[in-house]
Amino acid sequence: MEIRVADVAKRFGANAALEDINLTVRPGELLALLGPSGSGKTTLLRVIAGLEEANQGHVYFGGQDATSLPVQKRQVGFVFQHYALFRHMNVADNIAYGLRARERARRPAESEIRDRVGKLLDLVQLPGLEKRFPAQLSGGQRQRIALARALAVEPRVLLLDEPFGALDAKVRKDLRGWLREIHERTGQTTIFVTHDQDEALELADRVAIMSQGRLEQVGTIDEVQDRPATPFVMNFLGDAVRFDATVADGRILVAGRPLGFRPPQGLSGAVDLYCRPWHLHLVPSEQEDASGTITAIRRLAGARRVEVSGAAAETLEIDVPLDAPLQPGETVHLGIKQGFLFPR
Amino acid sequence: MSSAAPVLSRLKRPSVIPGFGITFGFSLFYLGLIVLLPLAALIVRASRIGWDGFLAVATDSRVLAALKVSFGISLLAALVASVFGLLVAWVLTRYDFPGRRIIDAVVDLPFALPTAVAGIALAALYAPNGWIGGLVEPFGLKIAYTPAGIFIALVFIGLPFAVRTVEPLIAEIDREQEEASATLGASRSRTLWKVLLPPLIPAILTGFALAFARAVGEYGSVIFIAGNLPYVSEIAPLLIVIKLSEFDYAGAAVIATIMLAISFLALLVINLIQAWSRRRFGHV
Repeated sequence: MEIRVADVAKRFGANAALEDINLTVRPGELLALLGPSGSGKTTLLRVIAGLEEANQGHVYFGGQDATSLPVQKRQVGFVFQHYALFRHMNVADNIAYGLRARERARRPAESEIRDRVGKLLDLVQLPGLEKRFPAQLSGGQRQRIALARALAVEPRVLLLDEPFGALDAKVRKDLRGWLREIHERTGQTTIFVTHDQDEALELADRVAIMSQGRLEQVGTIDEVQDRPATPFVMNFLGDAVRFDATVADGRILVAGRPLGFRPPQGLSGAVDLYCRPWHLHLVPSEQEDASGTITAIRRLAGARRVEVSGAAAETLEIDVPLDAPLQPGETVHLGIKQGFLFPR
Repeated sequence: MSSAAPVLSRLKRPSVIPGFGITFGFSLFYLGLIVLLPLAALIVRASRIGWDGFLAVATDSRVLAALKVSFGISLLAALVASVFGLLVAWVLTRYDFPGRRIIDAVVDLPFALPTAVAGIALAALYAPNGWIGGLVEPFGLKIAYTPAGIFIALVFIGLPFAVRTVEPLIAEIDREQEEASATLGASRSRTLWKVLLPPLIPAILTGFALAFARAVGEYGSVIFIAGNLPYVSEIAPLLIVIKLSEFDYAGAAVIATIMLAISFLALLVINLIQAWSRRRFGHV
């Protein structure tokens, strides 16, 4: 089902948690809401679920205005970071909870409920655990049960709030692949919140990157990586180095010298040039675009990482081949192959 | 010796904190001296009049009536105190309102107040010429000097037990559990009955047991409001005092022993229910 968020704003007291949010989630899509803590991503998820009321704007579920629909009626599946399983109920009762809560006319028979519970346990790869209590399960198992419970009600959209945040690294990695697989099998429209860009890039069809209550960019992995919309996106998705630059006569100038690539149309004057480490390379001194002093060299598995100060606005790091003859204190000459320009 | 050695070594497990021997010994000594010795003396005293004498006191209609009043009204009062205690604890932990801290402090007053003071205050309120007693009097209702008065006094002193035992558990309730229930389509009342209340049951039972135990033993506040009519509103502890003032020590000891036995049984039953409910609902 298509989920559309239109002009949504949410304030907590004087603080704006969400501002001017417009987002469309396509049917069957797995979308990641990505952002640092405090960026409003969880608040947006809760507004979609109906757990939080927006001060302004609308939420549409497949064309139907769901803004004033209470959470009980929205038919969403919500998975919490800390599972929120009912501790006094066993696994089967937890999963069956949503089905048993339906009004009599829509409630399946007990035998059918048992059937469904068994099928869902198979789906989350925990068959036979019906009689266990949440306290007897590991964190990863609990989160799988929580997902089964959310899927049991056949939700119109599945919402996951940092679903793997409380798990250790190994389990987190396993569950990512597993969630992707379940998503492919069920085709459920899914929105999940995360602050871990690796997780978002690995799992999601598209990512929506948020900062300070605003959407910075929505797009596929390639789009956000290859065409970052804002410096924030650039910085958030990986290491980035900033250079002061100017655009004049269709050229990019760093410290007065032109670079080897052209600026996009319509940009002129003082700009910020952001580069990924792999956009920089070592060149002979006469071809340099920038130069700096080596402050430290560290050995990585297959390369050496060189820390350079003085070249860009901040200290930058580049990886060089193991056999590069470099010493701390030496001056290095850097060529800029590529970069992203943002108006100042 | 050979059989005692493993038991001793099992008790003497290495531990970070020393002093198991001395604390355990002190606990046992204290329990024996303060609790078990007087109880034993009571039973010895009661047994001195022989089986026939015991039965004669135990089956005396006035004694039976007093026991019925004591345990029956205590049970009822503990039930009511548990329900209201739950409500009060809920309001105090879940909502923030002006005066919350004051009400929170007031809940403990029955703990701190000398019970006789509470009794006099309640009697003055509920007497036919008192503020509340005067209100219901025109309808032919009497509260003070009837079993209803005993009931009110016992609810009053039982309430703090009920409130304070469930309060920490209510504070611990995870908001996400309620939200999970709501997203799964459950109504508010279903969330309350199926998700929020079951984990509280062991604590509610503990509060009930404490309120009940306190109510059975209550003397001071009750005698001022009860009217103390034999067969109607005379409680067993008062009967013991009466027997004592008549120098019928054996009779007093018999009533006390019976109370002891019933209280013990009641607490045992409550504990069994509690153990069961913990197994059933307490998987934390």
